[in-house]
Amino acid sequence: MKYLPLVWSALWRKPAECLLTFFAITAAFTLLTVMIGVNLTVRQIVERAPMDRLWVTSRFHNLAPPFNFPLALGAQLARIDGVVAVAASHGFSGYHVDPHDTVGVEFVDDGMRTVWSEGPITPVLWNQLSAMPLGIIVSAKAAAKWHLAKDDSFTIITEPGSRLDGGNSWEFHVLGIVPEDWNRSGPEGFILGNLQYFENAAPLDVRNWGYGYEVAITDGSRAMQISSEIDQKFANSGMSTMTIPKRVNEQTYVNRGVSTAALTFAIAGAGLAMILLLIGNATARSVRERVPEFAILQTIGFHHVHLVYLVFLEAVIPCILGAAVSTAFAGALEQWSRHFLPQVLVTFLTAPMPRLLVLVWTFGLALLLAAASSVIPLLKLRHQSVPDALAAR
Amino acid sequence: MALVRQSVVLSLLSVSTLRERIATALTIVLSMAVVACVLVSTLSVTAGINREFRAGTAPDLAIVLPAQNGFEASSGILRSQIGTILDAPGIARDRKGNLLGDAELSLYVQPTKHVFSGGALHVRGMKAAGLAMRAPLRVVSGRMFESGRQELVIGTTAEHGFGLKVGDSVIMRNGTWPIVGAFEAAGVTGDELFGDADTLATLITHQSALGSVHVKLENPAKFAAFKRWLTTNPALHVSVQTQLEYNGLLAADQSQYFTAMAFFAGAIMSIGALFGSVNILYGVVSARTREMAILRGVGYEAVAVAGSIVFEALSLAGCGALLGAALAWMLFDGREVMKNDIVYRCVVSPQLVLLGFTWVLVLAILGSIFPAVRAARLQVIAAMRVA
Repeated sequence: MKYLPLVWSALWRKPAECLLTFFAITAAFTLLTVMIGVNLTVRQIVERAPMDRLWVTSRFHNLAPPFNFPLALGAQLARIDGVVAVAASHGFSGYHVDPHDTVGVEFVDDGMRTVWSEGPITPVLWNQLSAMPLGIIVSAKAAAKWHLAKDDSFTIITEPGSRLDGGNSWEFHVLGIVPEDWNRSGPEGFILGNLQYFENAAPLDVRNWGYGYEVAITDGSRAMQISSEIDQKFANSGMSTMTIPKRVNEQTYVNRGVSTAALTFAIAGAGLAMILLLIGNATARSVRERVPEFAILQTIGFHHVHLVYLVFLEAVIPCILGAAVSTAFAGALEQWSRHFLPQVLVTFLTAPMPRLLVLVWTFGLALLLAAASSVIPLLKLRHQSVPDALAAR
Repeated sequence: MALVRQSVVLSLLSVSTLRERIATALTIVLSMAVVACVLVSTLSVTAGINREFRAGTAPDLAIVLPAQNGFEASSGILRSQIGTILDAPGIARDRKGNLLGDAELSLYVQPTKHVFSGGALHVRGMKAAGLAMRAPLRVVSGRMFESGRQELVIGTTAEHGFGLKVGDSVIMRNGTWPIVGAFEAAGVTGDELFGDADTLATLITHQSALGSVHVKLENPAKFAAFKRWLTTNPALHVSVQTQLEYNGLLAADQSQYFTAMAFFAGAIMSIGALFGSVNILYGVVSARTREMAILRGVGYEAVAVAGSIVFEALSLAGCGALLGAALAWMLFDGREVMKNDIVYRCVVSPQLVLLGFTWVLVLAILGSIFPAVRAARLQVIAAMRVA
């Protein structure tokens, strides 16, 4: 604490210079923080996607109907060696109030509780969903968008004739609100419904068809082999499958031809280099201009280690402040980016970010940068002769 | 004239004294180099994508799609309309008098082995006219596909990207189709697999329609009349684009992530570099106050003094831009990237280097304006006393 007045007077001896340095560092730190955030987010997305879960989709879905699979495929998948559980799901969409604002529900069967056991839904909620055909489980984002709370009713309107009874109104009952899960949540969260409701209410000609499958397997290391076995079993049939482990699927999603982790790492590295240049230059200049002042401090009893504290504090304060402000900017970007940035970037900026880890990295790097930028000025100071400095030679 | 001479003298003086300010000069050079390098490197992917989509096409190639559907793979032109479309004026003919135009089918098939890019095999169904339009297209191994047979030929780039080779098979909906040949072609054509259009059409339910009609025009000037004839024909409801326009749309779609990332990162870094250079140049003006005061005292104009500051900033930024572009060229030029089904090579083109250069020079001008104004407004007596 006793050094703070000295550090403050050093920093503020040229206010304009101090502010410009701070703004420059903050801009570079903003880039660094955003890139660290995106980097950690994409890594987290991939790591959290389980290798022992597989997506089974239609290999030729873009060519011709049937676009998905019959309900009976589930039993065949379950008999494949290494498969632990199979879950069927069926997409469904309509609107709630505004016909232009669509809402989707994913109807799932009871197998989903095993296949998606890592998800945010408790066993009690799963039991409730199984027991109540009208029940839906709503994620936090979806609940916020549709203003839903537990035990609310929710009506979705679909195309005429989408129900066996001739109606097009689907009533639901909200069983609970759950946190988001990146592997399932879309931009507006998710809503899960009971597949039995759909099968009981849909017209006869659409029942038993249109299902996608998720599969849990015993061992993630066999994921590629089991995927291949599933595809071979159904190859050249009317239900040709394309099976892919969830983790591989997420890897493909987060990378756009080049590894997003590598790209953001490289840009973050550039940001880091820029901060080092800026703070290094500012620290070196400050020390150079204050050599006589340091000599006086040494004359009145300050040891070199005290000068190390002073110079390091002078470098670390703008770095820490820049890191703090940039973290706030990055947070604001997460909130507002969708209004002014292209969708391709917004996807990663608005994904659930490991905030604590981003903070640790940003502030850790701020300390390291401050230390690195102090090294050369301190070495010069160490070799400076005190009498020469006092005589301004 | 005197002003110009003074400006030249002062600018040279600025540069000659850089050695005394080597640390600050290097800071400007390196920070500008970082900005240019990030911008040029990231945009080199965009440039590679654009080059790939432009290569192998020509201004005399045109594509006809259903009006409501912008992409080949998801579109459908009724077979009954194809004859009418090929009646349009301006379509070129080969030496035997055959029209250089026909309907094609475009579909995506999942590869047997998953690839990092997540891409699917792009299979194109065509007939003899389609092959003739794509000249120069050279079979490098095996043979060309034959009509009526369930077989494919593969572009050498797709061969490389998907790890397939002649003799391998592709799982199709009705069986496995062998790859009987490999061809070499420029641009995205080399990323495709070709097969017989009618045989491939048996895979899809809507066999009454094909994806698009491709034609080669007699010359690019015929395009306007060709387009007018088709789009004003009440029997048709189609859109007409040159292959260059269509490929441009596809390229923009493929490259938007890299373009957005480049300008996002470039803009933030530029703000940092801008504040940094303003700060450093203010420092330069402070350090040279005495020298500037003397120069003003012996008759040098304020504008010449200010100009020397701007010149110094431009020189340093120019060095930085060159360094950044050189780094980007060493690290990225020619580097292979596979996005979806297409393999690209990053390109650090002269235009890109020019963009990086201009970007950094604009930053240097913006960063040097305020320090230059301060230098110009120095009060000679006061400045000499301060110094």
